Amino acid sequence: MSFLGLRKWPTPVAKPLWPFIAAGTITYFLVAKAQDMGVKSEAYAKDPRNPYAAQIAKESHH
Amino acid sequence: MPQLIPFYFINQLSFSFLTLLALIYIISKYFLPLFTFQQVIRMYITKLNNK
Amino acid sequence: MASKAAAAAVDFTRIYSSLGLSKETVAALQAFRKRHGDAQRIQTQYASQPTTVDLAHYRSVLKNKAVVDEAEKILRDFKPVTYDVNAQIKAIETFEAKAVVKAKETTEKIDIELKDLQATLANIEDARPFEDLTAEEVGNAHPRIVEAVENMIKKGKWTVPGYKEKFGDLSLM
Repeated sequence: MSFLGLRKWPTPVAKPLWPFIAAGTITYFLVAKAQDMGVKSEAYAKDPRNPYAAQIAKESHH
Repeated sequence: MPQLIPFYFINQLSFSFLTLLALIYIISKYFLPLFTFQQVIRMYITKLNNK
Repeated sequence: MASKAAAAAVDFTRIYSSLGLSKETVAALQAFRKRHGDAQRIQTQYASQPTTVDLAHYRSVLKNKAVVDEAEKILRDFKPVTYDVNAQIKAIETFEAKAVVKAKETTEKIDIELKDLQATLANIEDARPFEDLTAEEVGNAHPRIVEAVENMIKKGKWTVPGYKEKFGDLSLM
């Protein structure tokens, strides 16, 4: 398979990149946590732009 | 700063990771080996010339 | 004999000038041709001379008739020695046939060689200067280089030892 007329070379990708991929996964989960916390925080929970407003309102009623 | 609004953190991160991975893949598979190739051929040709 | 005709129709001037033969060969050819021409000339010269002896004339001139009679007798008895040239002619003909076959083979060989040379010449004329070569073309010409580079990259070796010393690099660090 060629790309823009350039031939493909057998460069290893997964082997040298695995630490970065692992780190990326961890970062992903951490950021997901941070987003969750931010969304539910005082400052943004009542924000009209918050796409999760309905969900949060439902949960807080319980 | 819209980047700091927490609703879109995951969105930003997903797209940045995807873009980076695609760039790394394409550059390392198609472009960077050409530099090595060129160096090898330069060495080869100059060695031929010196003989 | 067709081959004989072919051999006889040799255009000597063309041979001298266009085939690019060596000096010795041309000289030998010229000598051979001269010898042939001389032999032909002498042969025609002698063939035109009379071969009969006018005995009646001698008889009327000379008084000693016995001598004339004897001479006549000797003359009548004389028979030219006949050489058996057939064998020689045959040998010559076989040699000639061989030579013609050889010559034809040589022309064929030369034709093939000429074609080869012409291809090489076209190659040389179409070739671009050394500076215009691309890495891709060198790779196509020597697939072993491509293989070597593939192996290097598989092992994560991205640099060539000795390259920096020879060509330098643009990095500021």
